[in-house]
Amino acid sequence: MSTLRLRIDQYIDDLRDPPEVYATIYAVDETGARKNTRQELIPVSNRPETVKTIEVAAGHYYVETVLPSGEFLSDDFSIKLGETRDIVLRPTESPHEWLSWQQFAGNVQTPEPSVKRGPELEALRGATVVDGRFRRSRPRRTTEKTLHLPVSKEPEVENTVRWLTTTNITGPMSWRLLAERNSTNPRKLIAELNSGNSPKQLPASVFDSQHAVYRILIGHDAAGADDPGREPVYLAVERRSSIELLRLPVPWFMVRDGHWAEIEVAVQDPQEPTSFCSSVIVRDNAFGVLVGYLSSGSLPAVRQLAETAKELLYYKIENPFAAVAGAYSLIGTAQQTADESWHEWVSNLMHKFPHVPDGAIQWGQLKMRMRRNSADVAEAQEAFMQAYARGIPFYSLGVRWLLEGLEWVAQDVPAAKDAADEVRAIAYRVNYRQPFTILRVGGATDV
Amino acid sequence: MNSQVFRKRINGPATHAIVIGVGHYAHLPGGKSKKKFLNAGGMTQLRSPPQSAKAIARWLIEEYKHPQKPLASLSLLISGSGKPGFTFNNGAKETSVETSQAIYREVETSIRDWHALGNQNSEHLLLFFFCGHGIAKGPELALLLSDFGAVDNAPLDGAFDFRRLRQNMDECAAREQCYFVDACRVGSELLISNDGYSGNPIIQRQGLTNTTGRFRQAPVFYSTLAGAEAYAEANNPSLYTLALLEALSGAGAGDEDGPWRVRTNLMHDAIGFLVKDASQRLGLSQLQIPPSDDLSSIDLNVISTPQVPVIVSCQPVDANEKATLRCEGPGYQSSRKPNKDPWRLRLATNTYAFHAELAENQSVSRELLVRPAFRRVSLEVKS
Repeated sequence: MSTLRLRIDQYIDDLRDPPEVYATIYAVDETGARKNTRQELIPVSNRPETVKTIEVAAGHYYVETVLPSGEFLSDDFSIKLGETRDIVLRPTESPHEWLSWQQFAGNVQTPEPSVKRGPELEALRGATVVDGRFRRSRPRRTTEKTLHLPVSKEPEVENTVRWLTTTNITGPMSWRLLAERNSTNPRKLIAELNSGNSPKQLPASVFDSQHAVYRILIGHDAAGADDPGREPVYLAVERRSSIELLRLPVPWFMVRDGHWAEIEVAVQDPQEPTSFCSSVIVRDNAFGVLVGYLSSGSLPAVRQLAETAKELLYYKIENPFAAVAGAYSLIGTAQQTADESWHEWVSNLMHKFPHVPDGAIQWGQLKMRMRRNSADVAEAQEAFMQAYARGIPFYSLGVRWLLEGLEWVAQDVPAAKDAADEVRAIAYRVNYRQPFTILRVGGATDV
Repeated sequence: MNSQVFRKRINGPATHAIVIGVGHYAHLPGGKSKKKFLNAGGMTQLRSPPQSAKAIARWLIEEYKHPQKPLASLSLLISGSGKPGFTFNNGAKETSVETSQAIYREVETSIRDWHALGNQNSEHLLLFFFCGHGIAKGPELALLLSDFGAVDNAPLDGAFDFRRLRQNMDECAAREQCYFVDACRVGSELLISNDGYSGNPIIQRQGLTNTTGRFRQAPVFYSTLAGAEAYAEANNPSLYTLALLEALSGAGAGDEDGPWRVRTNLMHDAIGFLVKDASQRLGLSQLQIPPSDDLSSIDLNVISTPQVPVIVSCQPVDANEKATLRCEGPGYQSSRKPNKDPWRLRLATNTYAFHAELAENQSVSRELLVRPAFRRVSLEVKS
């Protein structure tokens, strides 16, 4: 046999144990045809000694992996009998070490490039090439004409995040409360969502002129509360005439480490006035990766990781937020309507964690898709109505699934129509590029 | 007029496709109608969608090989500035047909026919492709047809509600459905002022239970994320359509279970890379990553020899301007003169030798295996 030492060479800021992603290793012939395949979890680390060591037969191999950012890495190599070989896959480097987690998750914006050549391009909706750069021609909006957008600058990235310490965004009232905020004054919006009180300003942990990173640790010890998981934690990011509201998945318990995970909020100078500027990742070496894959739509990758870690995720459910991330993938890639063991996990998420609305959404979605009989339909209807009553989901995918479910329920249950209308008003405002729920509140322009 | 341009009698499971390309918008600026939609919001005529729709339709008829579910029907609806004709090779002979207009009534009839075909067998595979203008608000997406804006107080009568169409298609018997949407998803005051009304969903929910024993699988491949825009080179298929064709031709194939086969989950990665590469090549600021919230694996076509996108570049990249690049493989030889851009190739799966020759006695070579989804070849030269 021979020995392979595999690694993805990327610096990941401040983690004792590196995150791991699945790589597929193909034994191939000289034409590239596959002889056999295996999949291995390999570490993401810039430390040469941090490798996954596996035994393989001598021969030719091709290895490939896709990172949570969507970046695809591959290499091929030969290995002789008895040889030990290091295989290092190298992704795009992060612009700063402190942005490494955000880069890994695909959240770091790339600068607008200049047009090098001049093919005639047409945007399927208004865009032109001006002075060698691509410009989007913005649609005329009646609202913009009449409301006169303020011309003030965006707040500086390192001074723009507020913690709503006494938030009134809870339960079924959340939907209407958020939808009806129409002020163009960010400070006023924040006060309205914080029961009239001043919020806590968070200091940026690291920043430059375009990016700032805020790290937040909320757990039993840090918060000093008996059961901090029941209190919703929202952050507000000030924009020039609105706020971005972030629902944080805290406390996030790192099941493997036995500690609470830091939540990292990044604020970037937006490329366009109507773009979102904030993103949220969890600095959890085990399950932060799972959330990262959700944002790029790689549900099979999430499912693979979730199934590998099913004992950690589902048997005791020490971290319901990670468990629901996995459950999104299980439902999104399911094929057979027959009852399966993992269905019970989803049911548990709904019944044991009422403060996490996503569990009820998932149970409703599962039953709606199964729809084998009237009992399935009734369960789905009940679950969606419960999910609505539980308030804003933690995951943006949950908002979409809840809206879809309530519209479906409304055809049989008239009361669901009003609920669907309220959820739709929020669904218009969510950033679906992010795995966790981030929505625009207030402001002159809608998103 | 019946929009089917291809039909073949298949006993048992089959693939049924509907392909829509809207380039001519009669009521938008530049359109043939005198009556114009007043709130066009920057939308104008498009030249790319008819080319995109024809390219996809031609590929499906001529190249698509699904051993278990061969193509049984294809409906093609096109609105463009040119003649409404479509030519393809049907076996050995070239066939020319007239295509239906991509106006609401025609599209409505065709989608309902497509739904009826899917209802005949739960094992059928349904394919949907749209290229044209789209307007969005959050998860809502209105796909605009050629007669969009014909009625002043009901412009969305010339559009259909894609989200609810796909949602209601869950009650269609066919358990495998695949949607490709090549349209912008930019916010619109039209949807804002209509509480999200995005047109008629065409297929309505009937409250049917699912007796098939299978979940409906319905991945969607959008050309762009909400809020971003899709781009095209005029008079050519769009970047997204080209990426889709490359994915179907090999970049989205895998051989984990036997012969090379395109699968929806592999296409996700391939299209993501290809659109991103095209965006970088053309200097577009948007990275168009196709998202999907349903990504179960659907088997599509089989391929004997996948064609794989390959990007060859010197490191540092400045050296490309001085280097002649060469590639050699079994029965293959090609070279490129010095040029500042990386060299983009399409190669059959195999092992190739790549060379960068800078000056006499200075060259770098690497022998690499090329397999789907794509291969990036970096030739490190001494600066």
